Amino acid sequence: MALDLAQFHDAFFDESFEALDTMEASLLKLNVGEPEPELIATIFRVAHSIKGGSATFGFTEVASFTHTCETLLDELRAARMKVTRGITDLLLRSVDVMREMLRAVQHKEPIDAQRVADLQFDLELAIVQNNSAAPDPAPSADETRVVADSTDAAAAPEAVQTAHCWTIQFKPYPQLFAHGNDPMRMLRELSELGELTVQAHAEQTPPLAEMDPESCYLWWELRVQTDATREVIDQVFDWAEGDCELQITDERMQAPAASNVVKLPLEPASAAQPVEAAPAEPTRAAPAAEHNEAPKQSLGDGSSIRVSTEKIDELMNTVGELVITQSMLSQLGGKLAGPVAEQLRSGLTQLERNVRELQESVMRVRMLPISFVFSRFPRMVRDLSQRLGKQVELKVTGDQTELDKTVLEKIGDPLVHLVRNSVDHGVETPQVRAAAGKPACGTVYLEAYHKGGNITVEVGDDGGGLDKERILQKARERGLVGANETPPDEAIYDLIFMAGFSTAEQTTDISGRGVGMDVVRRNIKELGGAIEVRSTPGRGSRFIITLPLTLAIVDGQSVAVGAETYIVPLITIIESLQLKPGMVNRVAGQGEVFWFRDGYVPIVRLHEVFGVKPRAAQLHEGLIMVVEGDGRRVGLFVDELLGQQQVVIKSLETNFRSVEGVSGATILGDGAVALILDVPGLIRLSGARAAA
Amino acid sequence: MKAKSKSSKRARRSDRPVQSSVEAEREAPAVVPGPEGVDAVAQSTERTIVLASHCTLKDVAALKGELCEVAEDCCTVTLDVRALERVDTAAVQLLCAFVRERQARERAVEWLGEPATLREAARLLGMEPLLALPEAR
Repeated sequence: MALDLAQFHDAFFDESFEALDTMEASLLKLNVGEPEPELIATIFRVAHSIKGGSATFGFTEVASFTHTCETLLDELRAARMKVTRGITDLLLRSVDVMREMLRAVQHKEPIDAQRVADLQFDLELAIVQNNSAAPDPAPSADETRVVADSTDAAAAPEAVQTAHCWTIQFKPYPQLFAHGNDPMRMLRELSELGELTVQAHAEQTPPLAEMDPESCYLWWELRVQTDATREVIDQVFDWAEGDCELQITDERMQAPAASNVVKLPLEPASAAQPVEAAPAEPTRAAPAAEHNEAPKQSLGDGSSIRVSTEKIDELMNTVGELVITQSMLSQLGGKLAGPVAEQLRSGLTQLERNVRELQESVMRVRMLPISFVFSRFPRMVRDLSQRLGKQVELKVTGDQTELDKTVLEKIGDPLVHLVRNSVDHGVETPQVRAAAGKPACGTVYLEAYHKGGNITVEVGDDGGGLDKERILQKARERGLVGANETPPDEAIYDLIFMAGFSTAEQTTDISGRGVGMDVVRRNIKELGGAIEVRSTPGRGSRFIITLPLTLAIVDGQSVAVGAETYIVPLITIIESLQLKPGMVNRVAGQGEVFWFRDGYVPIVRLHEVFGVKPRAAQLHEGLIMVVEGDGRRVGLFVDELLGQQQVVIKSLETNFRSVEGVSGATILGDGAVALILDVPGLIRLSGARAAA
Repeated sequence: MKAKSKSSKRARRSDRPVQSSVEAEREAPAVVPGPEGVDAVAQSTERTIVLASHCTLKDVAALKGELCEVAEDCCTVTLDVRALERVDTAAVQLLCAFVRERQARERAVEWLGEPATLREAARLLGMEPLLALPEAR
């Protein structure tokens, strides 16, 4: 049976891309001059594991390039090389190149060999230059590793004497080989970390004739005396996650000055002890913080699995069908009478609860933290500000706020646009800022938080704010605003969302051509969200985006119009009321209006829009539901309110065709189809009808 | 595909008697005596299994087949490791199982060529004693 390693490629690529994101984020956090050893270790591990994986799968170009990266990172880790802005830039470019190489390999496309070679040359040059520039002879590997691992430089001399002594019980599962893992690679890596003693156990190997040569029957007891931290040890076994049983304990012995590399039989007690037992071992001069490492589960992510989104969508769809079936049964149950019917109804109530819980669980599976989108911005802001000669700091809060995957995927581009605008147009150059008495370094904010069943994402800056006068002037030039008309500030700021509207004096290759803000608003609206802008002159501007948690389910109010049922999304409803005769006025160009709170609201007779025969012909006979969309309010005239329920949205585009004023459909308990109203679309539609 | 061509290179000595006997004289294979001290070289029939340059997971199924065929032979089995350049844990595990099997039957295993690659791999895996490799030259 020839083993097909290709089946593991997807997992390798997924993990490598994620790891590169981590590497990039860590590089951006790295302080020039005073790098945090933990961050360097993280960056090093990424390069190291990509190198290992690429070599395993035979992606030699990737392996070779990452090897050079790793060599440079090793210099940084050992503090033989200083972290400078130049080095960080070089490594960030390496991240880009690694990403591109992996992408090329993944899609079986040619790699840009020249670019790779150039960068590899730069990396090598940096290493060589550093080595030749080093005034003192390079300290020995052992000494430097201690410095790199120690967060307190003063403690280093002591640490030289006290190395970790990791005892590792490594019991591979039979499928370890078949999953592309070779223990030899791991043992070699361990041996590179320090002094390794190995005891192999082959007792479980069956007789030759009975053995499956592709199964692993061996297990090992290992002992590594090293300065490497627990994370580094864990990293060695990263690829074997889920394919082995692993126990790692730190004996923290005093490292003998000269010890023979011979197979030391492990004390059975220490080898067999669970991880948690480690602190009970004699631990001389062991700082408490270091101790906390031992009880950590070595394979922290072992409890998660990768599932394709298709499968989750399928599950979601099935649950949606289940909700419909359940509500059909509930309706039927309600019509029955007798003692059995009572039992049936109680069973149905139970079913309803379970279905709702199931639905919520499936929904949660689809939720991802918004950090998936936010993670690209630190790099973007850094690169942009460098190009523009500005100093910009990005502050991110609430990046763990969870959003439906579909919403998350679609919000990326609009956010990129907004952040880019904030850096380009929002934050001023250091000179301008200094003249205005502001700190030279500007700030761009990214915030995400829950608000009333929605997610709000804010993108803001502490720059000069929107130039109201220029916007107004531009709007007057284009005839959007009358010459003597002065709309409220909010309306003026809102003009920037008009197509082709840009006040930038010079368009740059970054932004300012006026294409975009209208697209941003359209994209957000397509997601069922809204965007508004606030600005204070001299203090900065802030874009506030409101997004639904999910696109699959909507909380709706069902209303009856004639024999039809419509679903109005709850989020759009402001109030429902009954009009008395005489409350309605007729206004030219607006049709019927009534006074609501602080202004007149036009009435939209739903039965007229959809061509349905209503039960209530007079406005005072039915109900008015005041809804808001696109910042405009209308009163929907309906026969009666039926009830509130969560409905599963079925796409009309997919199943039928796009219908104006309708965002989708759902199936009701009685099997009937109800249309879900698209309130902003409906308002546009009724506006057009009134004007006609 | 590559793996197949490699494993097909492997041939038992009986298929190539002339070449092998010359090699055997020149190399003077190390002798691993069985537990009872049976001198395997003294026996008239010998069988050789040539390990290809790469002996890894892809090749172990084929190699196992070959090893199984000779595992019970009373003649000396020689493992020709002269071409061996790369070996992985799966292959070492298989060779250990073979050596153990031969030792249990009190049959000898000889090594033809300096098994440096194999020795290094086995040393790293802590399995050197299990392979009963000859002393390093």
